[in-house]
Amino acid sequence: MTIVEANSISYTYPDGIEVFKNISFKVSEGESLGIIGPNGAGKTTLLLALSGLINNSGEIIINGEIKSDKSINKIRKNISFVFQNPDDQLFMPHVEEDISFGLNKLGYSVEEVKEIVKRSLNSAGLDGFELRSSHHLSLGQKKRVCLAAAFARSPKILLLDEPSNELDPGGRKELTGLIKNFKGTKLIVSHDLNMIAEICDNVMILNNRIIKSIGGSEKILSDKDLMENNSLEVPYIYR
Amino acid sequence: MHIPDGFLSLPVLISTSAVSASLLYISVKKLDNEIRPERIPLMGLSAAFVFTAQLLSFPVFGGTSVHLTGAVLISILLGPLSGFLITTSAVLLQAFLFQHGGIITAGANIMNIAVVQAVLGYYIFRIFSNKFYIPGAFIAAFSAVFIAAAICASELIISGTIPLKAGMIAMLTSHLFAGIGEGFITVMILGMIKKLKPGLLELKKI
Amino acid sequence: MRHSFWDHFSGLDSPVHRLSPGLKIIFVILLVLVLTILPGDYISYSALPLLLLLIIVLVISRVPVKHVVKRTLVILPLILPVILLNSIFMESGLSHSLILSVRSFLSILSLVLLVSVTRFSDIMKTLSRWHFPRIMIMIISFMYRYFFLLTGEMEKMIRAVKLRSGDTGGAGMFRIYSQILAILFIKSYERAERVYQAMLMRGYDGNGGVQ
Repeated sequence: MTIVEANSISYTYPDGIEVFKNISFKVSEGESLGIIGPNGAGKTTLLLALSGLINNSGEIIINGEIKSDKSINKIRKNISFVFQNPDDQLFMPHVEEDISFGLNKLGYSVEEVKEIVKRSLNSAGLDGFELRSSHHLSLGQKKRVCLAAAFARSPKILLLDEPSNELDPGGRKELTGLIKNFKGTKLIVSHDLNMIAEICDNVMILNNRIIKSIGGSEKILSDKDLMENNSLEVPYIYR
Repeated sequence: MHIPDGFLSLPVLISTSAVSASLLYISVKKLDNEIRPERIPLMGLSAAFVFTAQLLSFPVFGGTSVHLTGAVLISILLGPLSGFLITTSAVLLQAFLFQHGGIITAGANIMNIAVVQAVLGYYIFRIFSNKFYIPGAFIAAFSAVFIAAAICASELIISGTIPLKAGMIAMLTSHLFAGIGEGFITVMILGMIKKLKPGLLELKKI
Repeated sequence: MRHSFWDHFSGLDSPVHRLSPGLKIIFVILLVLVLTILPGDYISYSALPLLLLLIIVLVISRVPVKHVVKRTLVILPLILPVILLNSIFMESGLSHSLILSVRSFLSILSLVLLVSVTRFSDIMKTLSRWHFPRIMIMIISFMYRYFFLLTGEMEKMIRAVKLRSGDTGGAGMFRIYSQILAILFIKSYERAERVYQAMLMRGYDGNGGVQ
């Protein structure tokens, strides 16, 4: 079943630069799609468009709902978006407040929220972190808190923007494991092609305002010419 | 200057706190009607900015230094209501985090910084801002600091904490330089923002 | 600049820590009020007993004495000039200033103790229960959250400048520091936009996402 559908969507920055033009794609429920491409290709912008944080032209349908000003709040209830920089989304004084922020909008009671916070922290390997302050955590810990907060919403769709960015190898391994554990639909923007190869069934190359290729990750990622033509390189696993 | 606990008498505390509390009440009421949700993180981060900026020691001649209060600056950028709430929050957190200013003297400190500088300073700026933006900012920042110093000195004098003549002279002379520093720093920051991201000077002033 | 952050000792455990935050806040406010109102002679009698009481609280709380003393001494740069001024220009200025010093020293000691044994979030929750304006609580929370990040960013910029220009001091630094603050404000503005997006994704509509 198609859970994310983009039909001929385009977006231009306020200063006139076109980011992507008339692109279309479908993502099935439970699929994990890696979105790759050179810097500036508009990968993050694509996630912003899907989340309704920017206004694109064209049609986006998420979980059966056509994205519009009226439906966006309903759509967002099914999405968790993990930003590139954890400091942009850990904005509360303590971890438990960041994880529980917005959970009341999903209809949970105070007791239920407490339980969810505990469970989410546990699943991210952060037991007892409720009263810690985000400004004192390491980058790896912050990223795991963001993931825990994302999982706490039990979303159908998980959007991740450069999740392994700046992490050390240990942190990266931990994070990859956590992402793999999520059984819903995943869209992952990343330069970390090895991680993409490990997690994603399918891959989309976004470059020069269009989708250069979309399909099975092994086929695309191991295609040396295709990858190099798009300023990418074949990940180790396929060399 | 942030007045510590013990420096003000009860009558002064009550009168200044009454003024601050009323303005706070009015601002919060007004804000509930006027503010848009996206302003809240902006106010919060701007408050963190003001709080941080106040720590920076600007070297002046002869080993002395001056600090930016930033009340007029933030009001010029975001408007008097935002400036008032931001500086009030900064005063409160400074008392708790750094013991910079006391808790029961918070009412007086809020009056001296949030009311006199953020609000009055903003309206002084507005007198000049149409034709003389930069000079207006300087005059507003300088006079706000200076007037606040005079009021602060009066509070201390009426409380019997410092002597009338010597106290007033000491406060005013020390704050003369602080006011000049505030004026220059405010103007330089605004000038730099105009160069780097001029749109920020056109934000809606609430 | 290492800042003694609030949570450092407020997370310890002791009978004092376990007292209700509201109780502690009210107690300190009343104490400071009393220290303000008491006439000078009463201050001289009650200073020692009050100091003893606060020291006992300090000991029970297991908060390091050095930390408390350090924070309390920030009053010194304010007190000393006042003592000097009053001794010269005021009648019986010295004794008056000493009483003043006692009032403010004991007040600041109680405040430092309060903050060392009460968590930031508990104080915020208590204020919220006492119907403190919600917008203020949100602003203060944001301020607390991002202050450390911003100081870190500011220090990084200062260090970079000092490495490049060799700390020229004087007028040169004055302009550069202003530039640093301008950049810091711009960064804060841009971060605020992204934080707002994060809040929107969690269903924020202006009414706060917290219980």
